[in-house]
Amino acid sequence: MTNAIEIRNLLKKYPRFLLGPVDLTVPAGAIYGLIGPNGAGKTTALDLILGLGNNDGGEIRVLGKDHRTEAVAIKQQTAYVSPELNFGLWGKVGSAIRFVRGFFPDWDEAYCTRLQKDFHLSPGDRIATLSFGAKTKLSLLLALSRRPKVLILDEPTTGLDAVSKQQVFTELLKTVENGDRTVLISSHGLGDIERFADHVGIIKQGRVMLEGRTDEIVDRFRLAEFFMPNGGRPGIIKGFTPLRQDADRWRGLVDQKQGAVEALQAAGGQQLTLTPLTLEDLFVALVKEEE
Amino acid sequence: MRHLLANHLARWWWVWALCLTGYGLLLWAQCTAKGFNNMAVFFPVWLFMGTALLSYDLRRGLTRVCLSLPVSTRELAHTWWWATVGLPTVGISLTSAGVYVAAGLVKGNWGMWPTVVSSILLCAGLLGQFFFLQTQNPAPSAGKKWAGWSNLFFNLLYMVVCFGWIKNGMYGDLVSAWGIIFFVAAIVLTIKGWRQAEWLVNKYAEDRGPVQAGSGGYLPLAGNATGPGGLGFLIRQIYVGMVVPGLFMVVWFAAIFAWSAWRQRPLIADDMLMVDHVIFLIGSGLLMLQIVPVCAHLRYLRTLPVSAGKLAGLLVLAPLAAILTLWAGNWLMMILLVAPVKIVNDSMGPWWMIQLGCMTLSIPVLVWRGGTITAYVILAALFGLNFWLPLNVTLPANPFANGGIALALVLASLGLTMLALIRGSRTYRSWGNLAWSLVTPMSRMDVPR
Repeated sequence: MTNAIEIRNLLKKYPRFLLGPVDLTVPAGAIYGLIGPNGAGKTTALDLILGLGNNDGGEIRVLGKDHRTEAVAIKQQTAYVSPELNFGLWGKVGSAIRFVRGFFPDWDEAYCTRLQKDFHLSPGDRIATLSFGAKTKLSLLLALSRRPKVLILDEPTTGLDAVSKQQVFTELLKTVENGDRTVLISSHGLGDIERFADHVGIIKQGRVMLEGRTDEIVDRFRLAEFFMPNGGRPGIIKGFTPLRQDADRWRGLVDQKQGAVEALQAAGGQQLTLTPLTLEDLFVALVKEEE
Repeated sequence: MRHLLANHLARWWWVWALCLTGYGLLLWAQCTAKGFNNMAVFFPVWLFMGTALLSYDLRRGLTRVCLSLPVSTRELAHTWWWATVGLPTVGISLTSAGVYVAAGLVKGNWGMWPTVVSSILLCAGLLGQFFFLQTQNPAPSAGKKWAGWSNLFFNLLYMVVCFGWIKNGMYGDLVSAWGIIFFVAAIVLTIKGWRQAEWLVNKYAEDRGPVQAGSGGYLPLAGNATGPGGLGFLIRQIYVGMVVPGLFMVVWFAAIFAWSAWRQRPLIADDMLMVDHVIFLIGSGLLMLQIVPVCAHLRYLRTLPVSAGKLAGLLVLAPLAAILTLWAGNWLMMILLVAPVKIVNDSMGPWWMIQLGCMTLSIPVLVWRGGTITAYVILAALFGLNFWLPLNVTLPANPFANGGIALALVLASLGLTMLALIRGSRTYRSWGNLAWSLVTPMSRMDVPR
């Protein structure tokens, strides 16, 4: 499988924040979920892929093309959806469609028409009076109708009701079903990411903590509960992150890949139970880890 | 009322400080410059800032917040009146008087008093703006037939005030028939605006803003959705958006000149110098009106398959082409309606090309800093400098040299805009919460999302 997006040693410096160095690999044909707490640098990373700002170091390749030297060619095949994109300038839905359509010779008019019906958007609707969710739908419509090879979505389900959210993910699944299109999605809806994304990357304080197949990552970690008799402590064990202690009872995150379970038992942990985690549990545990 | 007014001023004091400082400096330049008179009449245009600021607050839902407080509708409405037109009129008038006295004491130039007094008196006409603001936001009663006719009548009256404002200011006709019509219309509109101030509150109290989920009633693509799109669409949007209202204003000004010339005395080249400045003001205003919204959409525009160079070219050259069209239109109207070709040509001072080039520098500033206070301070300085230089610095009338400087400025604008598009990060921040971005230091804004 080739990679749709490859990010190597990406660096972006702000006066009070450093993104990177970031390494990220989005396989072609995948739905890749990028998750992280607020202010982790997700949007900044996505912006840099599209050239919204200049990176201070590193390399980004989209469909094998360099994001700086071949920016226009990349954007011909890439679409970006974000609640921060604003279409008010074009006044009406129809005018926005007309404007964007002009850039894409392969614009799928029939698909655009169907999405308008599904999203209840009419060309005569004034963009300024659309609800937040309807604006997001317009953004999606403009992105999907150009049939992009790579679709980058930043919080696409923010402000959408449950039905609309389902609609969005149905369209995304359709987008990737033939395997030649890729979706990179950043979202706080971790349930949705776990359900739909086959790859996931967790970013925190400007760095990618974990990356890989969603099922493998979720399967790799377990919530461990055990007792340490006589006030003992497990000590520093590679792959074990203590989360809570109530007297002798300990609770923590274990990385099975690093042999943390065996190490805990060797350190004196008794009545050890391992509970599978959801992506959301894992995310919360990882984010809380250093706090 | 006092608390609401204090809050309004606490949020917007810096805008008014900038406006009054700019106004004062321009008036000072006028009072101490050699050459033509009466330009000061255009300076109170800052008064429109009051309407702009209130409109901005209203669109962000100020009404519903204020009405949830123990404030009556009438009290709120009259607070807005004072914030929008009342206090600015007082501020502008005091600044005018202060600058006049200062110019008299420092430079011994007491001869500008008719212009300054005109400037102060003409502020009265701008008090009628509040009514104009109301009619642009129809009140609940606007559905009734009489309300529509009434609005039309008073809007026409407002046009009379605006026309009279410029004409009386330019020719000092304050005691002529036009002057009397102007003052009567201004007083009528002021009273009407004050008495019906509650319209505006009621209108916005009922309007919950953007809550539409989409019409649902799907219609096939037609009308505004057909035809060519892409960059051509945007170029046309900018060009037409500047040229159509611009030409309307150009014809309007030419008509004022022509009407005055026939009624009073033949125009001479010195009078015509004002034409340069009128076009500069119209061009600057329309440039901002078109380019600020486009710059607020750069985040999306940059996701489209357009190179930074091409986008920079569009941002700089489309408005430039529009302003050149306005210049040509103005020249044509002047020779058709006002003065012989020679006088019109002579009136085109040596600065106009450079002014034009300098005007385009505002585009990289906006692209580089977005809707921030930094951008607005630089733009105000640029505007002031562009206005002040022709009044105070003599330049040889060498069209090639001046054209070369103008071309260099345009090329610099292109290069800087491209650089800002590639390197900027503020460029792509949301302009949604403009007030926040305007008052937040840059260091606090440079955080990731």
